[in-house]
Amino acid sequence: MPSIISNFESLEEEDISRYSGEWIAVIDSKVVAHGKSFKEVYSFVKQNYPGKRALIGKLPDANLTVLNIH
Amino acid sequence: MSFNFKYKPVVLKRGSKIYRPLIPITINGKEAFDALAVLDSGSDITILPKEIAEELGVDFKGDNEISGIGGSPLKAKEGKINITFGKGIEIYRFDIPVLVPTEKENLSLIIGRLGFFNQFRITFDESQKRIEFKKSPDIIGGYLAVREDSE
Repeated sequence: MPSIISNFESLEEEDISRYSGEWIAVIDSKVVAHGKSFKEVYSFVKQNYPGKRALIGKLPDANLTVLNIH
Repeated sequence: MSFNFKYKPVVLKRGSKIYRPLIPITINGKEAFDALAVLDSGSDITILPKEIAEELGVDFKGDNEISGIGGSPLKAKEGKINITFGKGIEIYRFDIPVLVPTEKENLSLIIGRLGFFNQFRITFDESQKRIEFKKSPDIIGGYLAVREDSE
């Protein structure tokens, strides 16, 4: 299974709700980093897991709204 | 043929838990970047966080504004990304237009309708907490691709 899918599906077993509103990085089906900024999480992954494919994203929080073009 | 992804839990500010439709996509930039994105049928277009756009070397230009319900408009520039999306034997690769907010950071990657929702028949199955994707047979553009897994 490609790592992106296994990393994504692992989020069903792990309680990611604790990271709401934060950036997370998932490698080998585990959340290996989380934080308030993309740069912080991305730099950590690049430094500590060179060459590994990570699934990275910011989990939405209560502030997410519908967006429209003006 | 079809494939699906399950919703993921998110905690709201008041403490209650809801499930939101998140999906995994690969952005094919100067390097492949696997991103966790929010699938949002209420958003006209995909919103790509500036931090990711800059890291991947995505070109963005022009002047636009985006807004949410009750929110102040945000300045944004236009761009285009090539993405790989799918599951199992159904892997598709295609371009989607994006807006990159330039004055605000720390936004989620939001996959909006333009360029994405016309690729599939998408069902938000709230009872099963999952999103089902069925490739639209009459779609021009987008093609089956082999997912590159560099590990």
